[in-house]
Amino acid sequence: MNETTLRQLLHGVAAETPRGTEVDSYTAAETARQQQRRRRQLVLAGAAALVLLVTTASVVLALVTDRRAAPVTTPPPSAPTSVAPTAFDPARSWVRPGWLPAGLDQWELEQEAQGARYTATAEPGSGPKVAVYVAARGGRIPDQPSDPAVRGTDTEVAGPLINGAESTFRVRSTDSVELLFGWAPGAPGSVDVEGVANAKDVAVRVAREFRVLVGTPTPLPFASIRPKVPLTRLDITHNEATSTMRVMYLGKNGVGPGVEIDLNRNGVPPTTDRIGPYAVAEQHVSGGEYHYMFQADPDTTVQVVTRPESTGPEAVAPAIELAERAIAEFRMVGDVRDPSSWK
Amino acid sequence: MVDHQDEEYHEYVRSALPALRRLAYVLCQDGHRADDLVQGTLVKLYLSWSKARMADNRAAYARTVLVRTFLGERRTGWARRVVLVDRVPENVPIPGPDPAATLALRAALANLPVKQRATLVLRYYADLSVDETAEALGVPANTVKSHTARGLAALRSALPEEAPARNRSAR
Repeated sequence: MNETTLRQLLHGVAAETPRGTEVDSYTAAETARQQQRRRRQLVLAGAAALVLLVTTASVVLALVTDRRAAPVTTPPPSAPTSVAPTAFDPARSWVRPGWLPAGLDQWELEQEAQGARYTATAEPGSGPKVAVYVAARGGRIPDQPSDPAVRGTDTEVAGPLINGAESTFRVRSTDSVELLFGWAPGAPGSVDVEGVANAKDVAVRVAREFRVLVGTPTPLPFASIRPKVPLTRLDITHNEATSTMRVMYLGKNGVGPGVEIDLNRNGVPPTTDRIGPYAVAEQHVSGGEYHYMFQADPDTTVQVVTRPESTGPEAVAPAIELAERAIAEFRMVGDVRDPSSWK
Repeated sequence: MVDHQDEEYHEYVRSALPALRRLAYVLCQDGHRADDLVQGTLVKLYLSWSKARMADNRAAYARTVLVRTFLGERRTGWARRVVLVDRVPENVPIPGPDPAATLALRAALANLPVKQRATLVLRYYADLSVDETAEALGVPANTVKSHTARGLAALRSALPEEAPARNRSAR
């Protein structure tokens, strides 16, 4: 048999191919799609099984390890557990109450390097009030804003152990008292209660449940300069009846240029410039102070103010540069009126 | 697969189906199995259509898929290869120049190892070169040459006389 003969014979075989066929590209496509679906389901099922297996193994391992581990000695509940920072930085710490009397839902937070003050009221300027101050390690409680004449009549009495340390009441009346305590070793704190029944009990509970989260940044409704610059001061006023205002200063630990960002101003004058994504109204107020205003979102107006170290041209230029960087990189990450949305 | 690619696939299959069926029939020598082979090839082609449609020679791509599917099926178990039917297959009419020789060739081809059979079919039916055959089978060129030589030798021993060719040339 030669190759030519083989070719002829093979073509003869091919000529016998039956005419009718059930081969159908649409059926093939449907079969292929089914195979794809099955494969995906198998992959998902496999992944789920793997997760379940790993989780189960972890739990079993943890249980076995727990049984083998030596019993853990828990510290006495009154022992202090917090370590106070030597300076507060809102970018690295978050102070907040763990409990407050009902109805005190308007609040202010003032935070700077020396300490942080949290004031809760039922209505601004009057009525019941609870104010907590926590000082940095080695710091002290600043003078209270109340009338010195009234403070002179305070009666000091010993309070309960708080965080394993003694405390002192300064009693003004049955519904007005200041509790001095140590919120962490070497770091004093105070709770000032006014116009609240059982003021002493309230002050003790507020002090015991107040939280200072060191290492956790204070949530904000916006993000700005990256990498983050230390915040040397942060003021927040939250008032549901009107709006929320936030003022903060950025700077290098008080050295070098600073910038103030103020949210929720009303209205923006005609814009004259564009910085980053924002149309900005720029105004030279005095010396090295420049004001920039822009609409960050339909509900939020932002004012950025330069804070140069001095009014000399060599100090103003870096302050303007920092302010413009703060604007260019500014973005809202939450609703300024809803603290639960802040990040 | 997006719609236009889907349509492109069906369009291609419409044009390529006769050639694929003939190649499958020469490889399998059974109409039903050839159809199964082509259908399986089309499924694989659909799954890899995004790659196939970009190939320089789609016909070669589809042929390679078909031949490798054929070889893959031959490697799978009996149950995958044998289809039980409820009737005796009808005698297929044998057209062509020399029915007796064609029948003898079919019997001889059926007795060849599948790789040798596929090699001979690609070389002498599809008229592929050694390199093209090697690419389609996924084996080195030397393996194609050895399969070709052994396959031809086996056919010569099974069909010692070149009667068909001589007969035709005598006519």
